[in-house]
Amino acid sequence: MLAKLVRFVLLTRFSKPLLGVIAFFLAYDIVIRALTNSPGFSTGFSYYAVGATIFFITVSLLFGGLFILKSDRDYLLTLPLKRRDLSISLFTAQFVGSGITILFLFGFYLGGARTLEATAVLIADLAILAAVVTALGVVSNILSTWLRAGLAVILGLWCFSSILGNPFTPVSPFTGDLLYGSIVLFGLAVVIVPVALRELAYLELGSMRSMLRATSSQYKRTMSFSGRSPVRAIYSYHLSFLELVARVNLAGSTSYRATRVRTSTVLIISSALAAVYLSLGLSAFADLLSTRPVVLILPILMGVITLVLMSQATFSNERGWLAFTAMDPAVYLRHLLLSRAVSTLAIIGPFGIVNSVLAFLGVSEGVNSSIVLLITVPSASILATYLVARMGAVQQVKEEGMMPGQFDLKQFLVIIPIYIMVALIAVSEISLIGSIIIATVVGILALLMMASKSVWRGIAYRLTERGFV
Amino acid sequence: MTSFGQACIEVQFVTKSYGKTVALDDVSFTIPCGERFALLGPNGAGKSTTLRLLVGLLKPDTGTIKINGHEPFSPEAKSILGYLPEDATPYRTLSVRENLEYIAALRGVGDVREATERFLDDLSLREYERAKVGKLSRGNVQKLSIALALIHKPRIVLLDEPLNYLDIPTQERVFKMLKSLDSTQIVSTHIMSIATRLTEKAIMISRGKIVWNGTIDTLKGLERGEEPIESVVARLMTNAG
Repeated sequence: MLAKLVRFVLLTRFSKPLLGVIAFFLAYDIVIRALTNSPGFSTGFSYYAVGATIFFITVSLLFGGLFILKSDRDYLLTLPLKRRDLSISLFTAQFVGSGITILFLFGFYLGGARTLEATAVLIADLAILAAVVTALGVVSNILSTWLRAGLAVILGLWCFSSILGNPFTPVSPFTGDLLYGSIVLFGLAVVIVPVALRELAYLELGSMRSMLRATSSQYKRTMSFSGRSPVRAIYSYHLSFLELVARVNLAGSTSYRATRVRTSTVLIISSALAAVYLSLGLSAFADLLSTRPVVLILPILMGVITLVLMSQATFSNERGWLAFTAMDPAVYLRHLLLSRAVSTLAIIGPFGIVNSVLAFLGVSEGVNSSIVLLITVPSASILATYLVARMGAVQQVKEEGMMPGQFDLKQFLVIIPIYIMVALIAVSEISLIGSIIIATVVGILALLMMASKSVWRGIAYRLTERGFV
Repeated sequence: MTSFGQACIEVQFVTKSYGKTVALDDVSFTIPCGERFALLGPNGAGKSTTLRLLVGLLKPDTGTIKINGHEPFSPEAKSILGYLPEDATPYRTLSVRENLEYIAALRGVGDVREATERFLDDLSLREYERAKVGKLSRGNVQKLSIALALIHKPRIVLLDEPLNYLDIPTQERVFKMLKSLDSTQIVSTHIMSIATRLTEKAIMISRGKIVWNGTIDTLKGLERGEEPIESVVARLMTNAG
């Protein structure tokens, strides 16, 4: 029964071609790792491991969603199934959708192991880390926003402390402290995974109940659009709030909460973080922290988050029957995208400015980073949004907390062009000339695209044909 | 301005396909200004596609559509069209009031505040005005959606199953509201009592083709004995298939 249920749950959430491609790449990944000569653990690997782990933990906690369909709520959860079977099946789907990305992106650490025993432990560690990230995505559904953010900060700082030499962190197996790191990681999994399994076993009593709660939540402060022109109304909406909507994890985790955060609040928080970043960069601590790699890696991480979030979320909450029938879709989308790009600067802008200051004070990489954060990423986000919509890889979200539908291969493959842009960002970080050329080209392309009405009218028709109404 | 009897909606030889699936096949019809038509047809007949083409959300593969003499996607057509899709969802992160004000502003409504207040009262949405739409019941979402479709006083109204999810008192209120509008209307519905109460004429579509076009009275005239009008419609659709 369990095998049948796992199969059913997987096939209702992921198309067969998508599952096939995931399986192929995973097998390919493992074979390549096995045949590759051991590079050993280097400082670069450590930074990557810490950065990527913090990224996955943060994304899972802040935007982690359940791989639950509307039909699960109406049918699957009402069936007399064993709780254990249901829980394992749903966890497997969560794992395929989100945790498996860890295996793709961390696989090359296997090459860092010198012995067969160490390789076996590292393989186990990778699987456990993927399970932890998966479980955090599930657990986040029963935590309040502030608790999720707090936990993300605590776990992030814990992982970050491995750069300062702490061997007892969840990421330590991948920074050279295999024994202590493995014990800590295993301990973390023992705490978190059972909580996630229990949550999935009793969904209708936990997450689903909160989703289905009929009470209306009232906004204390609301926006007013009275007296605004159509274009000003678009800007006041999208510059006032950042919306947390839609699929965010790289392999297809969905998170839909009808949540909005005031842009001014985000700006204050990111400015405070940027100030901390600047003071660390200017202090004697900078040598220990190794500021330069941080200056290099930060824009890449921010680029990935921004591009993935922007490209997926911009249209997910859009309503064609309202916006595209009220005015020319080309005009609407042009201003929507521009306002989104500007509001993105509320998150990344302060770091761009701080990097300019660092550059002025002698950290030469700061110039590249500020060009990337202030020009390349916002411009690339417009191109990424276009690509995702053009490839038909975006889904309109209509149900609170529910997957909008089955994930297919197209939604997986759309990550490729987005990662080409991320690669361009990485190149920009290495070469100043490269960063200027890339920022200019990407900026001009974005401007040209914004200027073309036919491009955006075509997108509006395409979205409607795919069921966006 | 348009006068009664002049064609407000003209559809000529329109074909629309999604990949290999033909949704509408060489469809033509005309709706004179001020008249109310029901759009009837089985599931997947092409009703929603017809409405989306009329409102400019889709483009026909072949054929032409004119709304009061203008292309459906032109600003002139958009300003006089009001559209409610089936299972409509407004902006979920905005409150009820914000949705009304935002769409009124996008549509260039002169007095946004007045239009908002009117619909909050007319559709009993006042107590939810600050509520997040994502947390509303389906019935209240439908009420808000109707308000959003009508907030700019459109002269041509296209509604897809407008009374879905509404309780009976609200249905009656919406009936009255729609009847009182000085507009051309197309109402797509599966429920014949809605069609007979809201409209005087009907267009029947099956498998992407128009299979019947005439008055509701003529349709009633096709009844055999005690046969209800639903059976007549079913017979016409089945015979066409």
